[in-house]
Amino acid sequence: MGGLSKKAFTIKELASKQANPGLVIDSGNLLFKADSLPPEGLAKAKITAAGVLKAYQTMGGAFAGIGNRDLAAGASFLRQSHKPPEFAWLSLNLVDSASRKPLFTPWLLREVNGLRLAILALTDHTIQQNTQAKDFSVLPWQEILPQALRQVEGKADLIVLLSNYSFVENKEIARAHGNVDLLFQSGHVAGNMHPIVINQTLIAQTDTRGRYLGLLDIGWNGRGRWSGMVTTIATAGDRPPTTFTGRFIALSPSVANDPQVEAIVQQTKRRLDEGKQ
Amino acid sequence: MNRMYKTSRALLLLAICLAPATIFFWSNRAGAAELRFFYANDNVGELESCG
Repeated sequence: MGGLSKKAFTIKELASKQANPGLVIDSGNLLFKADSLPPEGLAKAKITAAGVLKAYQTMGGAFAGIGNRDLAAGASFLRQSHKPPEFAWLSLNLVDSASRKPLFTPWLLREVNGLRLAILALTDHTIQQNTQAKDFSVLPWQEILPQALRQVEGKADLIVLLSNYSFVENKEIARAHGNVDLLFQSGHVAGNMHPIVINQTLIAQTDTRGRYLGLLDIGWNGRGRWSGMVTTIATAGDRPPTTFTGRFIALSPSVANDPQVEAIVQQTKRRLDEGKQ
Repeated sequence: MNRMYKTSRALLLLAICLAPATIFFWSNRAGAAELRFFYANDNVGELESCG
């Protein structure tokens, strides 16, 4: 079950059915299976990662959060594909060890359906010691996030955070920062999690290994009043709540393959086979 | 009775005429929008996951 070409087919199919095509998001750990790679497996893992990334971009992904596993081949590997505005790796707290300045795009702005979105990302700083490549440092979110939120606050209607931290840590982030509207998490994942509201933040995640596509539809009416139901109890003067509906679409074997992404997958597999010979 | 009927009918017609404008106003008020996110995490280098 799963597969990038099935995911691409599903996204295209759903996007073609409505005027607002939607935003493709990956909140981290897109590329590698582990946060460190054995030297003998590095070349193959890099070929696979390049194929995964090309497929992701082909299905509309223009940015992705950096999870700790994305750093398995070092920050220099990610830098090769970091070409904003076509594609940007995002992390607020992944910094150069000496200058402590961000190595990648810390946040970006997108306008979707008339709404200004600020998209920020955090890499889990507690796991960096497992990574062999040391061409970066990861700072605790408490040192970086408050200032970044102040910077984007006036520029955006809605703030989206891609977080590689655990659910426990993400709940703390949500409680500390009510102006984070949406939080997509990666890492520490155990299955699909129905979107949950903590303080004023809606937190969402899917299962691992591309087995499901998360679909989140939001009727945005302003910050702070999330409702998962269409009908709510309100008084006459109340602003309508911001509603959400979530679905997890199983990428089962019966789902068709997108030909363009399938060609990338097959090409990547051929390159991997050539490497074996 | 006839007058009351006419008033009711006029009010009903007015409500029908105003309904589209009301819906348009509410759906286009500042800061309201429909958003769709296709999201995933922890693909961990899978081209074709199975199981």
